[in-house]
This record gives sequence, structure tokens and C-alpha cells, in this order.
Amino acid sequence: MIRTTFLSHTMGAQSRLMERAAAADLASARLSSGKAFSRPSEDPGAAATALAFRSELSALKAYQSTAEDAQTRLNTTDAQLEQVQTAVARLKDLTVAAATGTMNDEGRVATAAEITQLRDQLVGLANGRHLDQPLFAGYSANDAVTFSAGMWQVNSNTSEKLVRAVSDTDSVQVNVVASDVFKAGATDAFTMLDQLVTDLNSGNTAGIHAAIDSVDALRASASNARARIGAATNRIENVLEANISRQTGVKADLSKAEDIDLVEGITEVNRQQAAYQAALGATAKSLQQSLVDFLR
Amino acid sequence: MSSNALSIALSALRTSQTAIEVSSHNIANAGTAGYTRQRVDRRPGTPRNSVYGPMGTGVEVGGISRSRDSYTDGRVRSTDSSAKALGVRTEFGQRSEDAFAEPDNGITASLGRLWPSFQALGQKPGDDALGTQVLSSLDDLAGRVNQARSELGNLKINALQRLNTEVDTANSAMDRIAELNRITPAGLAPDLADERDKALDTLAATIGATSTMLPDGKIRVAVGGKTIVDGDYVSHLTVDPANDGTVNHGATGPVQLSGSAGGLQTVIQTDLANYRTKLDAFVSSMVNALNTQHAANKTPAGANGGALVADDGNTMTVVITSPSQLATADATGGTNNGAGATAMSNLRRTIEPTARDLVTFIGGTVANISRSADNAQALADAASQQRLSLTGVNLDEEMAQLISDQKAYAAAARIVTTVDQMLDTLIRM
Repeated sequence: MIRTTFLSHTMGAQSRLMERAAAADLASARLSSGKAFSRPSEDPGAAATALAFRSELSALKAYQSTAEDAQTRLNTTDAQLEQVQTAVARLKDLTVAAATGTMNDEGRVATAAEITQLRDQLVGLANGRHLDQPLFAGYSANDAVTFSAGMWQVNSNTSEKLVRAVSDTDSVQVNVVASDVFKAGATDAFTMLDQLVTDLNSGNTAGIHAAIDSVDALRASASNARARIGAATNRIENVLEANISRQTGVKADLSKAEDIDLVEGITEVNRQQAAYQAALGATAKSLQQSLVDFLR
Repeated sequence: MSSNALSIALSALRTSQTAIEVSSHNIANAGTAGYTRQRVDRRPGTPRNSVYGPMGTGVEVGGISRSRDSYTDGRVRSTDSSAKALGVRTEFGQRSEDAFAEPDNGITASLGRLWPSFQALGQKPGDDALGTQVLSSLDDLAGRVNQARSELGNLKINALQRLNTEVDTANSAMDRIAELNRITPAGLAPDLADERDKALDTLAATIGATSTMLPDGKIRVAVGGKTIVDGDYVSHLTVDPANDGTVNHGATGPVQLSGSAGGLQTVIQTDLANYRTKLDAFVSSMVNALNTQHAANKTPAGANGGALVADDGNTMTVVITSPSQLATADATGGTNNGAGATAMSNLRRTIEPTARDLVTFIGGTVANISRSADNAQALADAASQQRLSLTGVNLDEEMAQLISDQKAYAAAARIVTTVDQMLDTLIRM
């Protein structure tokens, strides 16, 4: 038979009460923090999982902001290219009209003046910027199109691809270089337009006729560039959509790994409180009992 | 005839009084830690010869003994010693975890802020504000690393202080045992024997010492295979001034302890060292990865990247001081080429898993120690309960004993009265 002695009873009661109190405390701490563990050693497996999800979530958020930034850049580029297309359409009209032979010298000079205006507009568009970065100049911070040493310098570094990583596996090129956009056959648009202006002023009909093909070529390269930008925009939109839905999934997974189930948490707190109070009551009752109480 | 009855009654009165005194002593010490319930050993008096053969001469007190056995003591001491060792390791393990402040404020959280800042810089290379953001994220990361290291260092100092205290406690318990060993075993009162057992409990808890009772009733104490108390001989323990957790035994040198001092030795020599080694390995691989990528990059101005961060094994520092020195371009160079910064942010995929490894390693180690500590504590509690149920005072038992002694006393007094009446009758005849 095990003897119950004064000390074994009181010390046993004390340690049981402490255990209960600690369990009740842990349950309420978990409920108020909302986390299933406050230090990794409480559940190393869940901690590792939660950390992995946290890392993925922060990466997804960073990719999201990268993709959104890329989107605004692509939108700006698209708007610029749309204006380029409008200007080129007008160029085509003017060139065709000038080539019809019914136009007199005066008309050709006026046309030449308008074409010069359009050329300047194209130069302006080619040097467009997004957040102070040139849109069509590759890695360079300088203007894409300049006139120096008597000739047009058009940025032609087609290998300088501005690539945005928008997910672990997707990288999207968000730029086109000026030489791809402003290309009119063998030469660049600006040299070609200068030649056209000279031909119009001097009445070189053969030159004006030849310019129609060059303007067509320019139109083709501009719309080609716009199509590339459009494709990149589509791709980023898809990635962004996938990213946002993945974020929702990861948030749910993270919550599952590190948050407590509210219902379970509240039930646990109540359960532990009840157990603690029962232990207190039982201890108070049993400690009173002794033969001394019954001897008179 | 009647004088015999009187002396028998007298022996019963004396014995009952002694038994009541012992019961009172037991009740008085019901709550005293380390007290052992005492018992009166009664035995019949030496028979005397009479014409009818040997006759009884009443009762006498053979002695006062303690209800205690050395097997239970041994079990309590060995379980308590390992529970204390694991308990102290758990405590320091959890404090080490606090030093890393995972998962909310630690290295992983800091890394989680570093990668997006690199990625943002990749979109706008050369931007001073974004560059400053990257540098402050790096500063923060270095801060976390250095903080964890200094906390681990503080914990080691703390553990050494505790080790000194434990060894001091053990030394004074050893002195007390040697002092009690000088008293001849026959003269060692039960209460003094309790005191010696308490000192032995302390020695088991602090340094995990084991004891043997010698044939002459004195105690020999040993730890780690070396005798520290033998009779009145004492060999004190000293903490080695090298501060590496070594404890020396008199002239014979280092001794491996257990108990809380042994736990502290493990903390200093193994646990903290393991955490630190793992942390240093992580930091060195991270610094290496960051620097390798940065050195392969070019700054917007076209210069080679060079080292980004440095670590001398004690302090991690950010080498670069100005945002313009950040190499944001890849090897091709170019002002608006952000491929280098993007590559830096992609290091997330190689560095973060190793950071998580670090967290899981420490968390897992502490979880294991803590589980073992819980088990050891449960064993120690059970052993201690078992011993208390053997050595402790049960008030009901004492009350019952008290009543029975009281009745015995009353009955013996009645015998005296009866003899008195008999003698009275005789005298009046």
C-alpha cells in the first residue's frame, strides 16, 4: 500500500496545480496571440513550414510589385507607340498625296514642312521616358535618338533587354530599342524622312515614289514593336493573375501552419480553465481532510 | 509481586510518554522538507526468573529509528540529477532560441525584407532612395546576426556564473557531510542523519555525486569516478579559470559532472557551441553567396561590384556605404541594366532554405532536450513522491498512534491505581 503523507500530498497537489495553471496559461497565451506556437521549439515542423510559406508570400508580393511596375512601363510604351502609328499613318497619306503628280511645287514644299514637323514629333516620341528611364534606349540613360555630327544616331543595342522577373520561372522583356521601332527598310526613319523632305523640295518624283515603300516599312516595324509590347503586357497580366490567386492560397496555408483555430482555441482555454478550477477545488477539499478534524 | 507490577506499569508509562513525544515531533515536522518520520522501536523487557519460570518485566524503548531506505534515496538522487541537468539545458536552449528571435524578428524576417528591396532596385537601378533601402536592409540583417552572436556570448557568461554558484553550493554540502561524518554513527541522531541525507540530495542535484555507506557507518561521496568526501576528508571542486566549463577536482584535474552543474557544462561546451557553429556556417555561406553575386555585377557607373558584406566570424558588417556602389547591372554593365540587382534578389532561393535550416536545427534541438527534460522530470517527481510516501508524516497515522499511546498510558496508570488499592487493602488488614 502506498502511504499518503502530509508532504507527498501537499507537494503532489502543488505540482499538479502548477501543471494545470501552466496549461491554462499556455492556452490563453495562444488564444490571445492567435499563433499556435511562439517559439520554433514548440513545433519545429510547423515552424519550418510556416517560415517557408512566409518566404514564398513575401516573394510573391515582391513579384507582384515588379509585375505592376512592368505593367505601367509597358502601358506608357504602348501609348507612345500608338502615337507613333498615328504619325506614321499621316506620313503615309502625305507621301501618297505628294506622289500623285497633281500636286504643284507649292504643295510639295508645304508637305515637306509638315513632314519635318512629323519627324520632330517622332524624335520626341522616340526619346519618351518612364520614371526618367528612356523607353527605347536599352540600358542607356541617354536619349535613344539624337542628331550629331551631321547624322541621326539611333540606339540599336538590341541585345540590351530590360528583363523583369515576375515569378520564379517567368522573365518578361519590357522594352524595344529605337532601331527596331523606327526602321524604314535599310535605313532609319529619320534619315529616310530627311531624304523625303529634300526630294519634295527639289521635286524628285522618283524619290517621292520610293518613299512610299519606306513609309510602309516604317509602319510595319512600328506596329510590330507595338505587338511585342502588347504580348508582354498580356503575359504579365496572366502572371499577375496567377500570382494573386497563389497569394490567397499561400496565406491560407500559412494560416493553417501557424494560426490557431479560433473555435478550438476558445474551447481549449475553457477546458483548461475548468480543469484548473476543478484541481483547485479538489486540492482545497482534500487538504482540509484529516483525522484531526474528526477528533473532539 | 506488587512491586513488579508497579515497575512494569512504570515502564509502560515511560514508553508511552516517549512514543507520544516522538509522535509530537513527527507532527511538528510534518511540513519540514527532508524530514524522515521517526519510529519508537519497542521491545519487551529482559525476562526475570521466577519460581514459575521466566516472567516478563514490561516494555522498553529499543531506540528511535528513521523509516528510510538507501535504494529509494539512490533512485531519487540519480533521477533528480539527470532531471536537473536536462532542465538547465532546456532553460538555456530556450534562451538561445530567444536570442534568434525567430520567427517574427529574426534573421529570416530580415532576409524577407532584403530580397524585395533588391528587386525594387532592379527596376530602377541607380535610384538613391531604393539603394539606401537595400543598404539599410543589409544593415538590419547584419544587426540580427551580430545580436544573435552577442546573446549567445552573454548566455555563455551567464552559464559560467551559474556553474560557479552550483560548484560553491556543492562544496559547502561536501563540508557539511564531512563534518557529520566526524560524529560516531551511534551518536548520529535521526535528525542529523536527515541533515546528512539532505546534503547528499543537494550534491546529487548540483553535481550528480553518488554516495556509499562505509562499514563504519560513514559516508563516501564520489563524482565522475573521483572521491570528493571520504570520512572527514574533503576535496573541493573549482571552476577552471580558462572559463571553458571545465571543473577541476583537487589535484587530479578535470572531472565530468552531472546534475545542474553537469547540465551547465554541456550548455557551455556543447549546446551553445553547436548553435554558434551552425549560425557561423550559415552566415559564412550567406556572405559568400551575396559577395560572389555582387562581385560578378557592375555598378551603374561600370565599375566591378566587389564585396558587399564582410564577416570576421564575430561581427558582420556592410562593406558598401553609398548606394552608388551597389552593383545593379549584370556583367554587361549599363546605367539602366537592373539584371544584377534581380540576380541578387534571386539569391533568396539559395539562402532562405539554409536560414530555415538554421531555425529548424535550433528549434529541433531545443525541442528534443525539452522533451527529454519533461520525461526526466516526470521520473524524478515519481521517485520523489515514492520517497515522500515512505519517509513523510501521515497525520492520520500519527493521530491514531497518539490515541493508542494515550490509551496505553491511561491503562498503565490504571495498573498503578490498582496496585495502590491492593497495597492499601494489605495495609488495612
